[in-house]
Amino acid sequence: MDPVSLSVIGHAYVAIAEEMGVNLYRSAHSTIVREVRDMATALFDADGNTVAMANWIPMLLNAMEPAAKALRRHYDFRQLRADEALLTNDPFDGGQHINDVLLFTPIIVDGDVIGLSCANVHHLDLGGGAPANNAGATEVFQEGIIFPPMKITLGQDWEDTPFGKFFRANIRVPEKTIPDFNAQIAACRTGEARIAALCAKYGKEAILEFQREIQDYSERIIRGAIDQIPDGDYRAEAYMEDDGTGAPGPFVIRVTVRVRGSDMLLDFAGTDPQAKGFINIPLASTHATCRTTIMSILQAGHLLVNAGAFRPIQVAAPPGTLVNPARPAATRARTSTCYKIFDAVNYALAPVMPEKTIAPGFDCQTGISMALRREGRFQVLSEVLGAGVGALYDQDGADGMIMHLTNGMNTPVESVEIEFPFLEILRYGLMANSGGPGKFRGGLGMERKYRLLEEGVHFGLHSDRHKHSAAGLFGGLGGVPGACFVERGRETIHLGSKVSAALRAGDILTVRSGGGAGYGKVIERSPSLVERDLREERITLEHAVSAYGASGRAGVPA
Amino acid sequence: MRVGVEVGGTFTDWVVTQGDRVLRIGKVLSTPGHPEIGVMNALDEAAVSLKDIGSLVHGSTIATNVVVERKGAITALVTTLGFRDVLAIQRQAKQRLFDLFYKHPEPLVPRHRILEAREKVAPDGAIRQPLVMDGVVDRLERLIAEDGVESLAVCLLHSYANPAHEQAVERAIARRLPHLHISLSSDVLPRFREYERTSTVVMSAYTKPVVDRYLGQLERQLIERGFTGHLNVIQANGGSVPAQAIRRHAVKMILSGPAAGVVGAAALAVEAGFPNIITFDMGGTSTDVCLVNDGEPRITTDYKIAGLPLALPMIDIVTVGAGGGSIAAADRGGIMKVGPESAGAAPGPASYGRGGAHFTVTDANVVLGFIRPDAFFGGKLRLDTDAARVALDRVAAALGMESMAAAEGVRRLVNFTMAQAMRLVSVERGHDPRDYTIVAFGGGGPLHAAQLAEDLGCAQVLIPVNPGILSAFGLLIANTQQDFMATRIAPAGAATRDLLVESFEDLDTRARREFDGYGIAWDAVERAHALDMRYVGQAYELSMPVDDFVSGETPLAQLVPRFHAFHRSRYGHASSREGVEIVNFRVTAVHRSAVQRAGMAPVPPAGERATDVAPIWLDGQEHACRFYRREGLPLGHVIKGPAVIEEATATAFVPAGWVASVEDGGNMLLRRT
Repeated sequence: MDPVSLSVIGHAYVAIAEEMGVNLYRSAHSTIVREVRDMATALFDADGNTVAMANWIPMLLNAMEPAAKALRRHYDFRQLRADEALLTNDPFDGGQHINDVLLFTPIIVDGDVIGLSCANVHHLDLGGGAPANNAGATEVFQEGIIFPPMKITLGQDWEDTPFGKFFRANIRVPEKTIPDFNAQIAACRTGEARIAALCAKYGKEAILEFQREIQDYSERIIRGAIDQIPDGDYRAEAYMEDDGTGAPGPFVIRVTVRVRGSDMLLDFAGTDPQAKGFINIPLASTHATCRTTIMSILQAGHLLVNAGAFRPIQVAAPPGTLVNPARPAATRARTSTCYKIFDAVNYALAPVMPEKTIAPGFDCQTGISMALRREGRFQVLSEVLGAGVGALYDQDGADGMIMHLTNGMNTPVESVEIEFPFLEILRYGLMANSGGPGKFRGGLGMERKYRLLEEGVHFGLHSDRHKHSAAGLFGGLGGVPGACFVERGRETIHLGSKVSAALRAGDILTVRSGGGAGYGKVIERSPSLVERDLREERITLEHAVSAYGASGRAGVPA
Repeated sequence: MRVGVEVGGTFTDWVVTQGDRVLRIGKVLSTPGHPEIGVMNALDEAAVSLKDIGSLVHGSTIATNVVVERKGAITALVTTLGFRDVLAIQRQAKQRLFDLFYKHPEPLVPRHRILEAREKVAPDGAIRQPLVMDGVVDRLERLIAEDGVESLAVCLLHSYANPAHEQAVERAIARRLPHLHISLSSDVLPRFREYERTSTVVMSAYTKPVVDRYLGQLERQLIERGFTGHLNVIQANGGSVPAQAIRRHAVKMILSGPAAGVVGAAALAVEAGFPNIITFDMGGTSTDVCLVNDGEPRITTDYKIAGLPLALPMIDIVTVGAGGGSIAAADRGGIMKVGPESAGAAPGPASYGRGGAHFTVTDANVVLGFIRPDAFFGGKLRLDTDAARVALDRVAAALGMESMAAAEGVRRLVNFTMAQAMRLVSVERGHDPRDYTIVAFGGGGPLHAAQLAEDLGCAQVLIPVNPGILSAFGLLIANTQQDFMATRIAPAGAATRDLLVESFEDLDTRARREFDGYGIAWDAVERAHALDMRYVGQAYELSMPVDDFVSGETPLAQLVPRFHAFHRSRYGHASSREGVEIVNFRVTAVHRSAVQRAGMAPVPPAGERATDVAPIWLDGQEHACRFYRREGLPLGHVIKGPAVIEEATATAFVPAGWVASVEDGGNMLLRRT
């Protein structure tokens, strides 16, 4: 296919995937989809290879292909009929954690399945031991309903059917979750219609040829980029502090990045066994994390990220470990553990790619949920708190941003207060001094402070790094760890990083994320950057003195 | 006499009208840095006596440039205690994936100029914590002394529900600091979602002093030269307002120029009998497109400029970095890309012969034969075909393509990029492009429009007379228009007449006060009523016209069923079980412009019908193609494609299978046969 057609159809595919997603969040009902946009949309060929994806959550995007591959073991995509759909959220068969439900529908042109349209949505609550997030879970059964890989016919199996009724009866907030599913189905339909229109315009054969060639194109570029890395075995590790059950930690991820020519293997031999608590990473999420991390380090453009780009990258994840747990491990908080893969791979490659790798950020997913049952109905808020990003060779880490594997938006304070009148938000902002010092400092962590206005709100949290922070790169120091505590009258109750607790009216709850780590030695930091941070009150004078040795007055370094 | 002057990046265009007649048109070079000089030069060239001008309508890129180039006022912000970082955190997410170096666009106000006031308003407007100003004014005074702050934005939580605290902050500050410009979020955008509202009011504060100074200078210079008429300015919603009024809401001048183009195109097309159009304005560095239904441009409140939200109602213009100067290159995997980098005016495309080495869209048009070296720019700039060929060979080699195939590829790719923008405003917003006529203007529009139409399935393209100055003409057509809104969340199923009447009456009162200030009689003002509605639990509203409910013509029981249908047409599904709520009440108040006829120019006298034949390269081979001068074509004349029609500032291409005809008013209509 000529380079012009490849470019034209390639951009059309990306635009279609984006349009699917825009329709999805704009018509979704839960805050986790419509505000946070914890979702992904993409297009596949008829063998389940990614052809194009939209600009949403990388972890969810890159997990779709492993799911497609798992579904393909059960169903022949080419035999799918119109109105049929494939579904899974099984963490041990292509899924991620229970809340992420993947839906694939066939794109049928002239009677042939030429590809798949897919929407992957984090659903607010799918039942289980606690609303939205069950921090004490030790088995997947406590985390919600499992949809093993299955085929349904949307017209006859959804909504007012035995399947639909069964589903509705087992979830806490059907009035949000069912419309979210409908928006997910509609997004797939948009993809089907638009790709069919592309076939009508360019011809089915041209589209099939495009699907093959765009993957070859991406493989070419990614191989070229890997080829630039010196051959070698690069090892590093990173760890989770605890698994929410009180079991002794740490829980260590060990990776060897093996580079040979234009091939790369990420081998997790030596990684700790799977945990009892909910921090285990389903295999699909391990793949998604490796892909997202490597694509980010190689600075892949958006058009590039498809199945071809992944061909040179292999993953070896030993069964029974944190990165490939056996059924029925609990997995709800897997994202924070995924970030440890991200950190370990960056640590491993930093010596040979110092200008492309990043120092660890806070690198935990700080997922907050609040639920109140009133007159038999649940109201569930689920939101994600950003944190400090790690520093790079030529810039400070971003302050108070989402970390790089995920891309969830915040929920506006006003939206939260309108919709959840049982609480009030008292502060939402950056934590001064929390960035790890260095030639370039880590980004600042954040704080969200709530006042509970009613009795009996159930609070859930999953995060990590509340005790220690990760070291930076090339002498850069770690940032300030995260924290979670409740002020109740004169008492302050520390809750740790994984919480499932009942709160009382009048409680003031604080959730903090930590800062990112620095890059390079503190003594190399430019005095003008210290002054700027002081002026903008991102650091205090005491911190300037203690961390950077600034002289007391005016913050000019001694 | 009415005069329109539109300042663009390269040219300042002007139009002079008398009653319904266009007297003269023209364009002069813009004078970046001092745009008012370009305006005076335009008036000189137009050779009008300023005292004869009854009204001067102005469009300008000044507010857009202030934001894009970060040249606005030194601004401070007052927020609710605890929420100082809303502006820095933005919506927390990245706008680009797989980029470890990503940072948010820098806010317009740095952190140390953001002050917190102790106060809290609840979502229902109740006062939860009374306002305490302690120290805010003192700290502001210090910032004025140290940083030179001249403008202040105020955005407190839930101020859309109760503006009392914002107004109290304003009073307290204005008492001590009377010269400070103050903008309140409850005034600029009374709507929930604190980041988008803060961003909008900050942008307003940031642009206000600069636009204020500029318009003040312009007005002064005009008056010195004897001008006694009305000075009006066009806003991003396509409405024209007195310059005095825009000085309070300067941010509404962002996208002023492109909005004028859309207004001009819509008016012209309605008069020619085409109420449903897609406007296609292709310039040197970018292309603006917009969808117009029934003569009304589509409006959005979801706009971003330089990555920062501006949530006011604006004409929904999509801009893509594709124009005549867009550069073609091979990327690292060997596929072609065109734009968004542009060769600009200096050094310009390779064929300008001013040292530009990059192969651009204009160069492709030259090499392929669509633009003849002598006919470009009315012959004012002779193009260098050889230089274009040299640049082409280099790109073609990098792509491993034949040169002419690469040149055709550039045209195809830039057409695709522009067609994607058109798809975005049509297909992706629930409209079928086949129901629309493309109106092509700007320097490049007529040359690419027919092929875009083929791509999108549109059957017709309308090319106005003097496509290059359509925006200036739009200034004179624009109605005086303002939008008013209030957030008031209520269940739609239980909506009463009283609720509707009361809420809209409040907005009408505000509208009336505003139009009184313009000196426009209230009975000459038309109002359109709309409700922003959504399913309970959704975050995004659909804006639905409700004039027939307000008048009582349609019973309120129909409100919810109408919303279901509206939602289905937009998103493809509706949830008849779910509750529906009203979120915002909106009134758009319009005073119709005196100039309603869009007759752009007298039909040119049938001159010499000079035609000749020259080769063009199309679909892999050379074709003999007829070339015409547009000025020489009489009314009713029909030309069969393939043909090229040249005029002073634009060139049109009529592909095979299309015919072009000269219509009433001198417009040219291209139709697929």
